[in-house]
Amino acid sequence: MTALRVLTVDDSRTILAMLHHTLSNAGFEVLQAEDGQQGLDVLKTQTVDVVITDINMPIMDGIEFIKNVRATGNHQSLPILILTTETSQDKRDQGKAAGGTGWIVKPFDPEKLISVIHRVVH
Amino acid sequence: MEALGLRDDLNDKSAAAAQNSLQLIAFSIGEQTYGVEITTVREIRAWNGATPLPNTREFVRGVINLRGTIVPIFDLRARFGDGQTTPTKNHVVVVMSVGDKWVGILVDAVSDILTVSRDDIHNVPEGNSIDTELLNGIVTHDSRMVGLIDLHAVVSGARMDN
Amino acid sequence: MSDLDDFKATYFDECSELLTELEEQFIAIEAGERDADRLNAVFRAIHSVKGGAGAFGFSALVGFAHAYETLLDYVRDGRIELTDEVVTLCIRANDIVTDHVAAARSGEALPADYGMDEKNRFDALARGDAASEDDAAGEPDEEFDLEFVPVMVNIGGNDDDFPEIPDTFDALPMEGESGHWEVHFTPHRALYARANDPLLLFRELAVLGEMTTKAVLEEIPPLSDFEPFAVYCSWEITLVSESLTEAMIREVFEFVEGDCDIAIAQLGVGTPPTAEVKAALVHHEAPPAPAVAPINLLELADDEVAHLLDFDIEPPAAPVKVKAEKAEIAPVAVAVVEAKVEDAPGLSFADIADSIKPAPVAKVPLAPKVVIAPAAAPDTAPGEEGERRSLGVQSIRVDLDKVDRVVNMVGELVITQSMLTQQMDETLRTRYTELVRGLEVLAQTTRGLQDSVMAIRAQPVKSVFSRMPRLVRELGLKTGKKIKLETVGENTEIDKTVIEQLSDPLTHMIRNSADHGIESPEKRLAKGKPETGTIRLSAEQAGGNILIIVEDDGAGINRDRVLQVARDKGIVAPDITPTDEQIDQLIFAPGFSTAEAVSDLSGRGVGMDVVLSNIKKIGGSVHVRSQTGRGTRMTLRLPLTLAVLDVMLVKVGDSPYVVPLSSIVETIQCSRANFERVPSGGQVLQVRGEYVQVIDLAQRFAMTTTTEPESRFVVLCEAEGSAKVALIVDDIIGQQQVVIKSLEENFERVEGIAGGTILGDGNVALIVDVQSLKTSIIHKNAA
Repeated sequence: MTALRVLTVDDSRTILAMLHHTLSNAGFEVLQAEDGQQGLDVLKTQTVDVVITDINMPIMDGIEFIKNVRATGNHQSLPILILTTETSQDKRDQGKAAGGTGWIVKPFDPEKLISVIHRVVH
Repeated sequence: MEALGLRDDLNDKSAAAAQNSLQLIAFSIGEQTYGVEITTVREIRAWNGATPLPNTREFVRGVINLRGTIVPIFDLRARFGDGQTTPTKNHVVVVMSVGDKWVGILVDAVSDILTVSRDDIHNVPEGNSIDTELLNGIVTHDSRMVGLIDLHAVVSGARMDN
Repeated sequence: MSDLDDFKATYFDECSELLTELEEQFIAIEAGERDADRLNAVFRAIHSVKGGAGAFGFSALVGFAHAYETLLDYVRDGRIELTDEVVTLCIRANDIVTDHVAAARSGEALPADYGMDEKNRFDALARGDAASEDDAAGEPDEEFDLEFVPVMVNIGGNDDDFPEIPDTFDALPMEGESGHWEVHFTPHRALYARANDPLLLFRELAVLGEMTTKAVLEEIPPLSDFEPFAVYCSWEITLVSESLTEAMIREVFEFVEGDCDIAIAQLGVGTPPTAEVKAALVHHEAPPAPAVAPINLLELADDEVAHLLDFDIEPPAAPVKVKAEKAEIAPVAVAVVEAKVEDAPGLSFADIADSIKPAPVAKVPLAPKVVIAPAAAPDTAPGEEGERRSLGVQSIRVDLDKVDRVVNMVGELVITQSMLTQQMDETLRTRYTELVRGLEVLAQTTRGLQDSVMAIRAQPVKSVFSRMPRLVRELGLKTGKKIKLETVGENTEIDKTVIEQLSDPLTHMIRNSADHGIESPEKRLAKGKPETGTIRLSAEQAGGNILIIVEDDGAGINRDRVLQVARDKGIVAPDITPTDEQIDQLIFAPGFSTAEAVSDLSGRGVGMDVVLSNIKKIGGSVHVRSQTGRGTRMTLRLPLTLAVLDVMLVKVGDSPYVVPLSSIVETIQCSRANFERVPSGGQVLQVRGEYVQVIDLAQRFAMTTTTEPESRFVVLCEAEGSAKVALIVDDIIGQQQVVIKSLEENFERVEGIAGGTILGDGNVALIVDVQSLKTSIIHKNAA
């Protein structure tokens, strides 16, 4: 069985490192990007099974990123999880309206993270 | 479980034996034999000269290149106040670690590896201040007296202004 | 080091970058640039600091950052106007965040009420403008509210048709009725458009209990009317498990709320569904149009239609057993069973990090870090660049140790290469022309390799400069002086290690300028100067060096007083009359301080001598120039790189020494040099009308020399800012590059020696510390 590939998009290195740790321990292959634009660049050449993205990022934020992913031919069925500390429902709703599949609230519980990913990935 | 118990027992015994004994590298300066714990020794090499360091005491023979790092060489004879060694190719540098530093000690020859019991280590008799300063203890091996070198003491006070 | 420590280290690194960025942004904001981009950047920085802090449970930091973030959010969306007063408050808040981060890092607790005033002011500001809208916004502790809040699904006009559904927040099993649930699930288009998949939901449901599904296919039109993107299928699912609750079922559908119709009903154990309930369950509205922007579903349709067809194959009425097989497909999903619904959602990473067990899937090699900072590597060929861009790779983050290993090895390579070149004598050259050519190419390539490696370590001095505005603000407050800081050339790049060593010296120099240089506003006005004093911090590259200059327009050094103090303290002997320049330089002498009243800032007698020793440690020098009444300029001259030094190899006695080329003015054969006796018995050298102090290195280093005095050499040196000095050596061997090695690594600092290096023949040569030789002479005379 080949490992599932996850693209993690966050401008915080700390969060990227934690995601990397949690996900690679759980057997995922992890790709990283530091903003939405970099995330799109990665998706141009790499195939991933699921994307985890922050909302607040420089250059291209998570909402724009999701919209762009969904507007691209091959990525309509790519699960995208929104990673957010926002307590207000509206960021989550915006993310969902843009095409987000689900969400994870920071600080995340590693077990929960894995189970949420399996909720959206085959 | 029985077998395991037996093994533990054996381990305990050998550990206790190991704890109580000490392996030394013994080296000579003139007629005297000194020793350092084998675990501190990193390397033994023939004397091949050293670049003298200015503004240091006479027992600092200089520095050598040990695979890209600079290591100071201490002349043990001079450290004991018997004047500088006139080294030849037959003289030996024992490289040791002292804390996180590596230092070389210039001696006449390396003689042996000794295993001694910790119980046999005696205190250094009062009297000669250099001996009490630089030795941790004395042990007898084959009716020879071996002085246990206190490396920290040997390498301290190397600078002129100290 | 545990993973958690690693993460913390990453976090603190990141924090210092973020705080640096904050400083920079606020310098611009203070100057009136208040555009949305800046405010967003500021918001993001605080947001990231908070995010990481939450993960590690730094609650004081989280609390403050949250309040600050809320304020920034309001400023960003215009609810609060960004007045100068708010800017000042924010700058103060940045300092508090910095202190909180420092406290978190050191583990020392700050006072519980630290930053409370500012926090209250945030809250007041937030309330003042926005109280009616969002009363809780100022509350810092609402950050980690419930993570997954099940919300009742709006099921259109059918609410009334359903039996009462118990409160979903209650995760306890319903009393008296257990185990048998019916779920009617009708996905909408939007569910698929957001890449959710009914199959996965079923898989997750199957974990909860014994499951049967039945596809409801009545809605599927004849093929002629079939719309490829429309959703025609819905499912009836029964789940049987003793401990099952509605909340658990709803959690599975959490992400698809609003994108489907879902009805959940509990039946008595073993009781078949009543006719009404069944009717209610089957009944559903036609899927409403999803509220998303039109999305091209072509790709999706193939995939999703396939799923539909999968279910199609089953006879519509036959219940499908899903449980066993599906559960096996996804071993990790089984963990969901253990996931406690009532778990505190804000559980910090710190609590959990140790408990993560690797899943039963083989660990894959770490993926390459794909994308990072936009800075492109220098000297990349265009084609390569383009190719890498298309991969999204612009830079990588590498452990500094690894770079240093390369730097060291390249250093050794350079030396080996120059040694090889030296070995080539004329006979060899004429005989082996190919070899000579090869060596030339090797020399070029090595030099190129060296430059490239050094460029990797170079960083802009900005990271240090940006810490200084805060310092100047604090100094201004403490001294009651008006001080403005100007920075120039902050993009000048310099070796990372040098940068790290720069912070303390710069702090001391700026303190010195603020404390001793800049006058009080009254004094300045009285002298006809602008009320506000200026400290100018600049960086520029000059040849193989970087110059960092701290300049002020203050009173200048009071030379009479400096000399007086230096004489009183025995730093300058009574019979020596130093030049103005030498007097200025005295402020760097150990133990020197002219502060009449020991102030809180400087003047404790430590400080400026620390500057000198720190700068010398990294191979630099300090020079000070002062003009009475006009100001003081302190110049740090720093090497571009620490690793490789251009030197002149000389002999003192039989020992090899090297003198940094940067400090050599010229070399003269002793037979041609013009020495003069001075009354004290010493020697001076006359060069072009200038009298220069002479230091015989053999004598100074107590080496015996057999060289005839006439055949020795003068190496005329000039360390930054100080007067020239003539070193007498026994022989000059040549110029070369060396890798600097520390003596202190295994020994200790030796006076007059800046370090060591390993020559081509494997011997150690010592590096002459010109400046310290001179200083020690002054001391000797004074003693």
